[in-house]
Amino acid sequence: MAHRILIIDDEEDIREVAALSLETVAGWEVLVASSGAQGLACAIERQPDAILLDVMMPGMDGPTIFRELRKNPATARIPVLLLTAKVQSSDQRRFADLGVDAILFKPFDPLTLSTQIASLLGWK
Amino acid sequence: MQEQTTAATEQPGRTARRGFSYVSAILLGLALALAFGVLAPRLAANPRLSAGPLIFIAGAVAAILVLRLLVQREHRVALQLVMSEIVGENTSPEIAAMRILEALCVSQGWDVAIKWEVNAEVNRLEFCSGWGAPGRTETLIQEGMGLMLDKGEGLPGRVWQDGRPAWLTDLTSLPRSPHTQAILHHRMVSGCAVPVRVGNKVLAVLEFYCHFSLRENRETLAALETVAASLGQMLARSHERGRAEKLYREQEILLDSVADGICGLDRHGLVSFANPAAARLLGIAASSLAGKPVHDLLHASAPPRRQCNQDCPLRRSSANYKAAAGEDTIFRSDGSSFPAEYVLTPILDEGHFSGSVLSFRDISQRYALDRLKDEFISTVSHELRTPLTSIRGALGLLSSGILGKVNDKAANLLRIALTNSDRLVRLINDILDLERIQSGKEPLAFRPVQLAEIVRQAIDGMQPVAEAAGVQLIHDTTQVEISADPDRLLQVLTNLLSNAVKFSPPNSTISVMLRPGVSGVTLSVIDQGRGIPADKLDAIFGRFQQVDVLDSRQKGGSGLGLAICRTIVLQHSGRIWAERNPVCGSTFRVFLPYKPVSPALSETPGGVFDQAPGRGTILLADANGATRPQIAAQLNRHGYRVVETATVEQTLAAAHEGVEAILLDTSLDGMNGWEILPLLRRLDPEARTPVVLLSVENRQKPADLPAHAEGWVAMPLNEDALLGELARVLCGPGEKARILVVEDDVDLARIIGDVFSRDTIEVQLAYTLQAALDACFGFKPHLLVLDIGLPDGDGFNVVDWLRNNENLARLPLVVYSGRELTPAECRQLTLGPTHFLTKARVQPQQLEALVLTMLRSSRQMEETPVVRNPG
Repeated sequence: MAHRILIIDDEEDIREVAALSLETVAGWEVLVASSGAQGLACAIERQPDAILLDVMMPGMDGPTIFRELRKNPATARIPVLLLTAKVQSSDQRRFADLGVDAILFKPFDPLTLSTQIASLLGWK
Repeated sequence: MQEQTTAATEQPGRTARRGFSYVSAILLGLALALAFGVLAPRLAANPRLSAGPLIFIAGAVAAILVLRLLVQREHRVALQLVMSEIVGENTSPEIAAMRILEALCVSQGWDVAIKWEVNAEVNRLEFCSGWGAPGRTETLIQEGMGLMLDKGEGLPGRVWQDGRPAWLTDLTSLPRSPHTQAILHHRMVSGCAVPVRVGNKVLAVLEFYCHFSLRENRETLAALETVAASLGQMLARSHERGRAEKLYREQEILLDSVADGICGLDRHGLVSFANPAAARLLGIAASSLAGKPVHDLLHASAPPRRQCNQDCPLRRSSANYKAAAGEDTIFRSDGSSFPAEYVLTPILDEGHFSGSVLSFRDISQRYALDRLKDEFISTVSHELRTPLTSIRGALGLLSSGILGKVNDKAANLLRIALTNSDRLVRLINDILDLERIQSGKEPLAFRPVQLAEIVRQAIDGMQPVAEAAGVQLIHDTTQVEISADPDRLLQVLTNLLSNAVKFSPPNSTISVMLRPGVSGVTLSVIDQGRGIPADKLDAIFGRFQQVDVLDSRQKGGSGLGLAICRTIVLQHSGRIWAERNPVCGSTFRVFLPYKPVSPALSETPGGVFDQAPGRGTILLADANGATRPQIAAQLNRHGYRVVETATVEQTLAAAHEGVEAILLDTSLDGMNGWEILPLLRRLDPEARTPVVLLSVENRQKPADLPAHAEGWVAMPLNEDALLGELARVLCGPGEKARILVVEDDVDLARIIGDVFSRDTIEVQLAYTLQAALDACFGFKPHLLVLDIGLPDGDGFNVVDWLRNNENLARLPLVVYSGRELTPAECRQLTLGPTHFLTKARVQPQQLEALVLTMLRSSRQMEETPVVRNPG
């Protein structure tokens, strides 16, 4: 089943690898954004099925963007998965408290990224 | 002042004595002269007796001689009295020497006396002090001050050289030296000198001069030598005292200037001295430190939530006779604290413990640096993950072929790149893990945890890897609950298993066993790999430590696994250590207390204390100074910590809670070993510490063990026997259990039977199927050790038959087979808790421990009351 995923990450290489992974392995449609503002606009306009959100970004960081997404009725119901290199459990608790739908860790396995996302969100 | 008055009182005494002696002598002389005077004329009247006048003269001479003798004797006596008075008074040698010189001169009528001392550094005689008759010789003395004479120079120099007294009636015969010139200049005519000796060494020379000619007088010389001898002794004594004082001063200077705090403790752990640094670090005046128990000084002022407990290493070591070193927090009297590094060294005075020395230093700076370093590592690790994500991702996609076919060479290169970036990821994870745990940023979540559950989870998780490596994982089913953080424990177990699998050859077995003890449970992971060298058993728990550099490349380890394990175990107030197995492979042991001791541990800055991984502590009581260190070395090699004692008194003092077992030589202190046992038991009424006797007598049946002893090892000591016995007594109470061993090979059966007969376990052997079945009913074993191939059937029949019998269907079973069994066969052979072991691949120790654990767990399930073997 084709899904549309929006990836928000300031690292170009990671955007590219993640997009390639989801496109070639799962055949999903992938949108990319390099900043919180861009991502917000893209989400409102294109209404993805899920958003993959990086945490450490200059300007608006992941949690801030998440709150914005939730505040906006147009994007409030889109499931958000955090993609992060911050693996300390204190951070994890902080993220969980945010109310995100799932947390994925960097580095990820490109071959299983799509299945992880699918199982976390209960797809397929 | 005093000297003058004594001299003044002496004078009249001397005069009086002289006067008295003169009187008697004169009277005698007169009497003799008179006698001769009366006789002489009569003799003179007789012309034949013309010798009369001669006789008179002879008589007069005789009288004079006698007179002189008497006078001299009186002099000598008087001199001796004076000398003994001077020497007897406790004045300094210098003052005594002066008075001696004065007394001698006055008594002999000499004018000058000088004392020279040997200066060993420059090897010359040094003018020390002098006495001169008033009015005549003061200048001579003054000139002499500061003079130095070489050997052989002048009269004193000669005496020093020869080591014997010398008398010169004519001083002009001396070769002219400055000193001799001065003497002659003052119109001295005769002189003598005596050496002052101690033993064969000349310490000083006394010289005397007079301005009239005096012939050598042996009496005088003899008197001088006596005086010199007394003076010599006085000098020697004062030299010794001087040296001792100098040493003491040097020691004090050292202690004062050292920056570390140093405390001397007496044998009761009370402070006997403390240097200024100790007082400064502890914030207490040095004088207030004396007499206080050292542990109180260091820990008593801790705030309530950071109070230490019985397990406190400082408390233990200060009550112990063993050296200790480590890091701990020291609390000053005002409640403030600082991290410290300490070393405690016992002092043995001819084998008797007479106290110890504690030195400690403040390591706050080091901790601060550690913290900075850790934060740096954390930041960098995060930064490393980001580019790694891209690398890992790109490589993963490429090598999967999903973007297009790749030729073989390229595929291989991609595989290499991918593997290594995976390794990098693991390394970063491990580094972060370690830093997180150590810095205390990851507080543990303690809850009641069933350890067997964790073991099972870990084994399940490792199963695929183990299967791929051809290694079998077995575990016992001892149920024990402790308070712990389950995720962290799982991490530890997974780590240990992963290591074990990595280093085990194919077709070997790794066993995980749990052994509940008094205060906690000991978990053991036993492998049959290549083992760890004895000198690395401790080092492997350090960061980035691996036994062999080659290992890291081949096995993909990060070198941090064990460091992480240790940190987690320490946060549980436990201990982790490694042992070499007697036959092959290693055993990693983790001791976890039922309840973690002090939650405050994880809150301290700088993280967990870097304590040495603990081992079981064995008290070794053996008076034989030759064998005891050897036995201790054997125990050390296997990871036991040993406290050595040689007398009953020491043993009783050292036998306390921290000791897990006591090895007691039966001839200690002349007291028979048996007599010590009740004393030990009185200290330990609940009999928590098993006692194993070491004795040269023939091994007796366990039933013959004296009361209060749990085990026995025969001397001369066999290492395996010792370790086996220790493992056995530490394993648990010796219950009288029953085991049925079904094995058709008679010799092998007997060997197995012997293994367990040491364990106060009743063993029955059966060689055939029928005998086995009969025994199951008659003997009613608690556990069955079963060989698969039997002559009249096979183990499968036994098991089937047993399964059909309600009472025996859940019997614990150890299947001991010569070949590998298929999973289907294993299922067929399972009764109650069942384990499968392959012959020749399992050490007897493992079999023994496994059986004992299974027995105990089956007992717990049956809720049979534990019967203590009266032994």
